[in-house]
Amino acid sequence: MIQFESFTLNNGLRFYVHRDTTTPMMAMNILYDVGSRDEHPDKTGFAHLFEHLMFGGSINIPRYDEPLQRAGGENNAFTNSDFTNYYLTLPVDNIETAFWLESDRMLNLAFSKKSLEVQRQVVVEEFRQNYLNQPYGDVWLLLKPLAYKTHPYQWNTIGKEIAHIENAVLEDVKDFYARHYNPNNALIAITGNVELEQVKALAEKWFGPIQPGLKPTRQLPAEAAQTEKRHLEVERHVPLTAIYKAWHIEARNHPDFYATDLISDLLGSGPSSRLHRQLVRKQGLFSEINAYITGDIDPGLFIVSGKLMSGTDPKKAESAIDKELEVFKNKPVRLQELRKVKNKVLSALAFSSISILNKAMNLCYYGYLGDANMVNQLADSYRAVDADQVQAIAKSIFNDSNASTLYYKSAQETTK
Amino acid sequence: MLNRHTAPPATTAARLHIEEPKTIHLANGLPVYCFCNNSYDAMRLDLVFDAGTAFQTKKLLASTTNNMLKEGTQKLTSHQLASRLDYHGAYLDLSVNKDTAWMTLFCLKRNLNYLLPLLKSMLVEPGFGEKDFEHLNSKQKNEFTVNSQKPKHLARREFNKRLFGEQTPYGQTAQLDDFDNLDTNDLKAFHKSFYHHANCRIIVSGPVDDRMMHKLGENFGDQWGNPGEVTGFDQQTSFQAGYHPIQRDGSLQSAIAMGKPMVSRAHPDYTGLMLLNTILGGYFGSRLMANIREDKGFTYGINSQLVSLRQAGYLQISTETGQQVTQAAIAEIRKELIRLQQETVGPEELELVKNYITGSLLRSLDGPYAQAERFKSILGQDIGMQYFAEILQKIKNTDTDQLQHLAKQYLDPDSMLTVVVGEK
Repeated sequence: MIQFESFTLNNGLRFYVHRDTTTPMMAMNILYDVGSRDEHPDKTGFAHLFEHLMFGGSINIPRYDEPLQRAGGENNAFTNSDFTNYYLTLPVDNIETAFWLESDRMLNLAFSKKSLEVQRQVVVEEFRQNYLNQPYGDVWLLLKPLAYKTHPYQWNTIGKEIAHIENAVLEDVKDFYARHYNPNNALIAITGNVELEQVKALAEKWFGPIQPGLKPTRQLPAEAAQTEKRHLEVERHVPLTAIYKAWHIEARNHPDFYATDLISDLLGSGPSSRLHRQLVRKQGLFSEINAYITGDIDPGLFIVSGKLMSGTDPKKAESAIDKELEVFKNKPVRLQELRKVKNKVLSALAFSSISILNKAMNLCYYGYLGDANMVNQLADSYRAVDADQVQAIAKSIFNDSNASTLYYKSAQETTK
Repeated sequence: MLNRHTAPPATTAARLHIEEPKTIHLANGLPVYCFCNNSYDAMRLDLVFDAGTAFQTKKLLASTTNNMLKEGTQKLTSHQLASRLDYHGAYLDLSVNKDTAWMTLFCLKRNLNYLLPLLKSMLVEPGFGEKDFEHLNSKQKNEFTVNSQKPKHLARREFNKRLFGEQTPYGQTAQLDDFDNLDTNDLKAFHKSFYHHANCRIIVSGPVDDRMMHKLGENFGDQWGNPGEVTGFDQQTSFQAGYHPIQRDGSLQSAIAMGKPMVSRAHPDYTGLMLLNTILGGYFGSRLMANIREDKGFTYGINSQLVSLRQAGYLQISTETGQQVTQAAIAEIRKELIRLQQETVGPEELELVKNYITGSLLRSLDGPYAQAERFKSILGQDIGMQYFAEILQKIKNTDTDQLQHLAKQYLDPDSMLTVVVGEK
């Protein structure tokens, strides 16, 4: 149970406060309601590039990192398709330093040309390092546009292509900031040995004076229902051929979410799971195989991904996956198997509610989904999933007309 | 009027308050270290063995033996074992480093009673089945093949070889062929020699109570395994500085690994070097980051690490840079090393880094599981948790002249090994 209190400032900024007396540290997590789904299709990679720029100095504070380090603090951030998340931890005695820093960069950024130039380069290197210069690095650059034709999830957070990042100009960046980085577009969680009144006073002092902006209305083109199987094959310089299959699933807030998550565990999370047992150990078709869901807020994807044993025909391997899914659809899962995956989840939930940073992140995330208290209902939500629900959802997801498949073929294998 | 220009006053902990774990010895002499804390439902259990890669007589032996412990016992198939572990909510991490091997379990308190005998069975009667071994070995071989295409991995391997000497316990580095040289008899022999009660230490953290300690004694207090003498190893490092480029066609980035052998924990210079290393490349605001990433944009990340093993220590600077700026990046790394030798670190920067380190240590010792993790890293070296409080004091007391002196003595770029993997 994460006990917490919440309040909202006049400018719309939402706060969550959780008291944890067992630690000398505190965490502050700030979630801004802007992700790569909010980008223009010709100017992608912005939300993420912007995250980098947030560290280039704010209007009154030339450098963000140094004063935080001086106060014994550490910070980081991440961007995904749905939102941008900043977090820091520092000794609780220095709580005001956190408020001073975060409020200033919500107030206004320094916006220097130099900062943009450097971070553009840094992000280009990130693109190369993680997506282009690694084996299997560009899988998602291929899979997403295959599965999504209209919804902005079709491009990755890093951007559609390097050129979009290279062409970003300061005006675009300033405009992006003005639209999205406002108090009424953010949620903040504070966890640690803090008092509610103390946090309220600091919130009012540092964030209170910041004017709200025009809350951008999000009107994203919905992804039309897929009606036909999609297929893409590419050849790359990798040692093993890999297969990626994606099916459309419901949105995060849909009641099917928890059952769908458990389906991915039943099918492909670890050596006791179905796909591993059948396709890796028994049939020897795959060297490794996994199943997971993307967890996006708008309707996301269910993914099965695996690397084939050398010499295996991808068509044969894909058939084998489909066959296992048919078995799964047609026979209700046994109680013990369902209980197994639930127990694993319950264990993981217990561990995730230990660190003050995790707690702060979760409060913001579930607050963002609509109700921060959802974090305390997760265990029950998973417990409530039954075999009938699992079977019904499997039947609705695992159909060819809903599937996109990528054969990521090894050029080395082909030349053998 | 709100003053947004000036930082609010901030304080730094004067010293670290850290307690030693409660230590008990089981009937067979096996030490159990407890970081007891009743605020949590979740347990962490570490079983640690002096069975790292430095002990192996054949490459891949230590890690494969360790990984095979999860692939079935003499009573349960691999699948049965995996299912039972999952059913009881267990998260198990099996891993090795150069000095040690461990099995770390995370689970809820209520599952521990079931899981302890299961863990014991995995340790004393592992299956080492032929099919299971073939499966694991081929999986590891495939991972190795994929990793062999990652510039960072290649750079690290080459660096490791040349840093310690390829024929030495720390410097031995696996190649693809080595996977074909292993068989289950090797694993059984290694297991017999190294996985027994006299070569084991246990760390338990979370809501540990007397009943739990009793159960631990029941399961691990007997004469389990084959307690012969563990054959030690003797690291005689053979190091040569120099520049070693490795071709990787079509590379968009180069991976750089640069460094040299250093003193280890026991040496009086070590704490000063920890501080120096942090300034150089041990945090986001470091000299290397500030220059090569934040000023030049050559890389997504660059850092330096000071590592202390049981029989050696080393410094390693690592980064992946744009292909076209590789040489420029190396030149800047050299510049930063020389700068630390030629100029003293200013008082503001020094204070900032000391404060940062204080916060960082506090953070890394926050809560029983973090403490267990830290304690695991100093096992078998005759130091306790007070060590962390002591090094903090020493770091705080290190002055800028001492730092410059250390830089002059240890950070000459020409005394270093540089490995670069990328397009020529």
